[in-house]
Amino acid sequence: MATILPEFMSNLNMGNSAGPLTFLSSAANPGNITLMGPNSNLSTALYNTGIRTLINGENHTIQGAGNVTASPLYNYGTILANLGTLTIQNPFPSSPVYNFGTLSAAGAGNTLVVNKQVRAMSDTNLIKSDGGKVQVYDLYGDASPVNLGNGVKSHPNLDLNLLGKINVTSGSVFNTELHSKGYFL
Amino acid sequence: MKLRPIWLISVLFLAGALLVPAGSQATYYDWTTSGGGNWSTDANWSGTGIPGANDQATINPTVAAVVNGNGASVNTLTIGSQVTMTVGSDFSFYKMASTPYSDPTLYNYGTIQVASPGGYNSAGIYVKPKHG
Repeated sequence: MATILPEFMSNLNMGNSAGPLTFLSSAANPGNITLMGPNSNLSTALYNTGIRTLINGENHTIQGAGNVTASPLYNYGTILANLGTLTIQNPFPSSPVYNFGTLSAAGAGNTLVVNKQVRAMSDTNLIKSDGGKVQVYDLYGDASPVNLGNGVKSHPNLDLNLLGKINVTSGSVFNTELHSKGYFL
Repeated sequence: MKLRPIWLISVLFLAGALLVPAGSQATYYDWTTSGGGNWSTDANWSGTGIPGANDQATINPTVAAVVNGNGASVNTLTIGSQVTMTVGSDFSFYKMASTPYSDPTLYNYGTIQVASPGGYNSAGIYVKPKHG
């Protein structure tokens, strides 16, 4: 299945902005961008004007440790913390991660921190951990249910907000004990 | 309504201005070196010079290749499956300056590694407003 780009972008393709920036790949040769540590960045939001959208296409992986900054971020592929802490930044709070793909952390000591709202956009969306941790605080399952695997925790510093349908995979635990305040909308 | 010549000339001039892109056209570059090397080396590319902010580039050698992309700028980039591109400073994607204002796109079938320098230094892939 090919990556489906947001329809509204056809109306925003003007010359006064920078983005969107799109990463495309294939099942036969899946590409990846590896951020190698805390001073490693991937950003479409250097400037406070115009379109700051980042589209991570199907079969493409953003991985490692460092910082991903976009407003908004459309994820059709995989975003994976596997070299330390990988943070999806939040320069504009109202700008979510539209998740069609997988948000994950693999291996002990690796954490994916999602400092943005995650809005599930397809039945195949998945937030999970393969031995690491994934921190979330704002999950929207209104368009599609949010699918949670094991190892997902609430953010230690941000209030937990849940809206719509949240599916926790059988045998998995969604740990919400890290923060005392939770909102179920 | 009968158009006077000055009006006709104005209309034709305006129409022409709308049809002709204001900025420079994109140039297509191919990586012609059999292996790896530096983005900034002219000899590694087809054509004149190296790819810039309005340009489209393809790096698809038939053997494994490491390409140093430090300081590079481009509009659209295709990376083949044999390629590992290293970024130790900045790598910038730009929206194309002239119509149709092509959005920056990476067709990535290989690997891009963005370093994490020490201290207050950083490295990254960034997108920037139209150039030109």
